[in-house]
Amino acid sequence: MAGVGEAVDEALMAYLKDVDEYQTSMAEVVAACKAGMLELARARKSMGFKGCAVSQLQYPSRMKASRKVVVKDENEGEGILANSDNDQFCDGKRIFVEAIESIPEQTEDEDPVFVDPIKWFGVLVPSSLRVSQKGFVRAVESAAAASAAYINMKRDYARYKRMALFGSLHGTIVPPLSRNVIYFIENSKGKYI
Amino acid sequence: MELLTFNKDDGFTEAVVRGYRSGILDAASYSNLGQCDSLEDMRMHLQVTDYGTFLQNEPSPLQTMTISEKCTEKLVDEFNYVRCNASSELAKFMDYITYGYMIDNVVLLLTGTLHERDTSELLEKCHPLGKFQSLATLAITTNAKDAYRLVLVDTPLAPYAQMHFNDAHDFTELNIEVIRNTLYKAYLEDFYSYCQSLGGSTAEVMGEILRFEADRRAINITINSLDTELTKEGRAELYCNFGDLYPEGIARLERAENHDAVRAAVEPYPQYRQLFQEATYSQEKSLEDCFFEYEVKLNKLSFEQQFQYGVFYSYLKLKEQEVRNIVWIAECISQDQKARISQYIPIW
Repeated sequence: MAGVGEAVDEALMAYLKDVDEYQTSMAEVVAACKAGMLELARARKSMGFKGCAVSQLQYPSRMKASRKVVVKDENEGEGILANSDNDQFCDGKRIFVEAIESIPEQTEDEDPVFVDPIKWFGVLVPSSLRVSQKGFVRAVESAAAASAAYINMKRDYARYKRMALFGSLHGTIVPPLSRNVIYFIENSKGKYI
Repeated sequence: MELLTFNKDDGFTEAVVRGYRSGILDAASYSNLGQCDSLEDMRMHLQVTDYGTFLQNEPSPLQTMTISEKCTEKLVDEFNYVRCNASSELAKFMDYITYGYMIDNVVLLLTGTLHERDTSELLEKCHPLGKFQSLATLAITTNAKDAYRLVLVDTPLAPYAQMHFNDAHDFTELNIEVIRNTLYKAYLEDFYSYCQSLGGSTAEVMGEILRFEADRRAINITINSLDTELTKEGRAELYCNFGDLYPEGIARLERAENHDAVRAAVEPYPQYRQLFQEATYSQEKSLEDCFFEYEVKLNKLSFEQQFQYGVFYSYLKLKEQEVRNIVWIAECISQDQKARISQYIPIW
């Protein structure tokens, strides 16, 4: 039965580690978005009116995504990596964000022309707009990492609950800390989940 | 001679503009705006300035775009009031100022058409000072030749477009950018030569302001075109043929391949050397901010001289800077970036 208690503690530690990873990833997303929005405001300041130079009026009616989320098996070959530091692992899968223009396979029917979205606002754009674009790209990549961390967190929480219930049913003295943590999580109204 | 004759035709309008100038926000007003916690607070603080109750009828929650549009609307009303009371020569000068906004509206329509946006949506967002009757017709053109033949030939922009709008290829992002800068280059050169033909204090004041504008454009085009598809030959055609940098500085800018080369090209010119140094050593100020500061300084100096048309141009530019400042403060408040609020360009 001591083994059950240790397993419960391990499950709890795994869950708390996932919570920390999720919060870190979300903080990165928020910081990247904030930086992108500030530089966008700076770009609007320097480009001036110029026909509402940086606004929704410049969006094309038919946009193409420039990034996509790729999910591969953990043991699959390396493939094309947009940024291996941002790879997340979840349920035996490797998740990362890939730039679409780097996809090597294209059928003859597909239009191979890809327009960098920054060109919607002109060719001679200020550096603040380019920095803003980089911030939003970073936010997209961090969002994929945050999603994977969220799935891991939910999975480990469910495992922890099962372990704690199993321990209680078999007479294991579930440490009070564990009982308090369960109570806190159940009553936090999904604050962490 | 202008001391004897200026007030006869333009004394009233100059007095009106000088009255408007005294309503430009001062440091105390910016300090109050910087302490606002929300855009509703900003609405309240702007009520005690010359802007008055211009946001009174706007529904909550207020957006920064709404503040920008209403401030611009007020500026346009003031400009149009002066324009209505202007003598023939001053009216021609003020019309020249509006041609720049016409170019911006033309490019907005062409870009929107390229991206298949709705024409009515684009027309709503055009700058009021640059609207003309056949503007909407640009939406049906697909190349530069048609744009000139169907629309621009009957507008004041015709002389600027005549030599350059022969391309029958469909619009792309690159050639629209070239169109924008080509039109603006021709417009600036024409405006400069018109101001010089007026002579006297107007030529002196406007000459300095427009030379700086030409130089700033040349530097910005060079820096922004680095690592883009615009070639050196392409960008050389976009530089104006006047300015303090013309011709030696411009020749060096044509050959520049990186930021250091741009800096080296303007090194012999003390005013630009200082601006580059300020931008390099300051963490908060970009080169564009330094240019804006210098422009504000030149426009403020314009009011030190009487009996010249430069005050009308300078008032418009100072108010535009004020609108940029207000919008920047509003963006910092709405994005919860209070630490950056002080990065506006103070005028007084």
